[in-house]
Amino acid sequence: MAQEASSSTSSKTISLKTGDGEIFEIEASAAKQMKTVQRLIDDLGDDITIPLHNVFSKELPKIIEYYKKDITGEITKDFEAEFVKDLNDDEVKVLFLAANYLDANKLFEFLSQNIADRLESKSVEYVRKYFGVENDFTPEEESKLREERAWSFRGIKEDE
Amino acid sequence: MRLVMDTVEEEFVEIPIPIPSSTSSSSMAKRPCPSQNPRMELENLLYQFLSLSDRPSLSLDLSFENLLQSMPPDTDLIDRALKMGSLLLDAAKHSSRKRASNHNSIVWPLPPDLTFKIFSMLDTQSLCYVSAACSFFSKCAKDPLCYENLDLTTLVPKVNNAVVATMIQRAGKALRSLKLGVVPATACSPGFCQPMVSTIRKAIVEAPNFSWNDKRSRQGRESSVLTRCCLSPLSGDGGAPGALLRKLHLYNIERMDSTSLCGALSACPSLLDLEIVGIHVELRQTLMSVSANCHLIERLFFESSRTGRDDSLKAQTCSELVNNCPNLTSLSLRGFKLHDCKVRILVKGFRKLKYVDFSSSYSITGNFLRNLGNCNGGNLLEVLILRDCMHLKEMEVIRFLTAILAGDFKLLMHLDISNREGLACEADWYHRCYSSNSNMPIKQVLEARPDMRLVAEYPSEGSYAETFDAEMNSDISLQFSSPTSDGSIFMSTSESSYNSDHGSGNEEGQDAVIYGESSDEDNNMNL
Repeated sequence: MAQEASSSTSSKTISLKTGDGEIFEIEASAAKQMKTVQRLIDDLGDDITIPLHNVFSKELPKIIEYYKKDITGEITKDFEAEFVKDLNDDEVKVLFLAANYLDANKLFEFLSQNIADRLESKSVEYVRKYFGVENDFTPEEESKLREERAWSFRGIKEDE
Repeated sequence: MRLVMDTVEEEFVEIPIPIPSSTSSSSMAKRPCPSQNPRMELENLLYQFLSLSDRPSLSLDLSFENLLQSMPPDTDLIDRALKMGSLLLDAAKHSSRKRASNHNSIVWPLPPDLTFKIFSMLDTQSLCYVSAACSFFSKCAKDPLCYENLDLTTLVPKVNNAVVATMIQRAGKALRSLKLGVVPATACSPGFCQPMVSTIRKAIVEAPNFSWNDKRSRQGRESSVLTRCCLSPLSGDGGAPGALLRKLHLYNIERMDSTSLCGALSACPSLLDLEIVGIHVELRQTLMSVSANCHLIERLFFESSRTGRDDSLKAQTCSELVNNCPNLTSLSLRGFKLHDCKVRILVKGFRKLKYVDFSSSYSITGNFLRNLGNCNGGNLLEVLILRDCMHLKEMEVIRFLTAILAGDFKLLMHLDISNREGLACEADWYHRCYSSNSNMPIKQVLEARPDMRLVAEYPSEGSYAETFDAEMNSDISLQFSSPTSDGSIFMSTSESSYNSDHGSGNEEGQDAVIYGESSDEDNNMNL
């Protein structure tokens, strides 16, 4: 359902439609930060609702919240800490993948760091579960890798 | 049927299949031409065989047994079954891995260059775990950028040369910082905490699950110890890894010696930050090597492994260092025998020097502080730490504080002149100055310079010890309290246990405070 953009060009908003059919509004300056969106605007024009097939209504509001803060130049360490505080590991991952899809660089970098922080001191099985990947090593490769990390002296139990 | 067997044999020499007449009637019915589709023939067979797994009532072991009983006893069916079983299992595992890889590529849609972005933010240990998750991650984790900052420090000796070599090699010319060695858990950022050397031994013994008879070293695998050549990979590959190395921190590497350390330094012309703790190297030789190779250096932190015994520093070494390394802003020499005249060369000579720490030094009396305030080198000082310097005289400290009151050292923000044993009184080392009989103008300085943090903790004789902290700044919390339990510098217990494999004299008792060589104050001191 296409919506009319507001008439004054200075506060132009863009309509975004998520993969599950919901529509959100963002300011044109925020949209600029998401290169994918900007490209679509360039192609389709800014009066049309931009479809984002791979982003869903669960995560898009959070992304919009981030960039709303960004265009006012108010992103601080405290804001960033607060932003991720209540997100569980999966939510961060989903946001991260969405930021990648949207080519939203700043958010992408920030979430990269956050994921890295969450992965610190975690076991191999945890990492696999987190990313949803499966073990595809040969036994020889596995034991070589185990040998290579034998030096890392951890408090956590190696669960393999 | 014979025809089928022949063609199968020709194409797949490894797998002669005796086909019993009771089974695979459909394959018989197929009867392909000899030159056509022998592979398809095999695939059909396999498919049929594998579909057998759907049949719940089937028991392969019984069928096999029956088959064996019906054949002449010397038929090698069992061996064939083993062989075929093994082939099948290998093939199935291989395909299973491929399937997992495909699954992974769907589940994790990012290309390598974005994936290793996350990995490059991980510390070295976590990186090892992440790279063991799946083959794609392993590949991503091999990108040099992930190895830019190597932290191979451990609580107990566990890293060996091979690990260091592998990591350095992976970093290649992306290597920027390398931390290596054994660091106790309680060590905090240097400059504000106690010497790390004496605490190491105790930490090692206490660390859980650690035994010097670690099974790994006994098994003949490369032992979990760093040898003297552990840093030689820095020079490898045309010196690429060392060329752009900015930071090198080495802790308690038992087997490293002066030659190998100097060799490593010669490979690191871009070094900005060098930290050496508990390594059995000579001060003079090391400083000469820094002088010769690391002209860009900005921070030098050097803590002796033989507290109070290294008296190697010469005036010429100091001059050379000052001339060749003009960018030095932070200098810490802890636990060495330093003479005022030499130290003066250093403190006056480095034009950008802001941070000085000569804690636990022997021989310096504080004389070097005289008339320092009005020349280039001294006036820029922001931090001066002279903690637990055995021979630091109260008189010199008073003189220094007076200079501060007179307006010198305007940039000095932090001054630490605490001493576990109290400062030395003028005439006699035996007599220490305690806070109760102190003449020092501490309060005046605090009033005159409210911006400055002045730490002057001394034991008091029979009265409460007063601490004269300017502000209770919890951010920079000093770990000192009353003489700590984990081995003070002046008691020799940590000393004597430390040098067991050096054989440098395992004196019990007062080895920390006996001076056999000439120094300006040549006194024996019994504690």
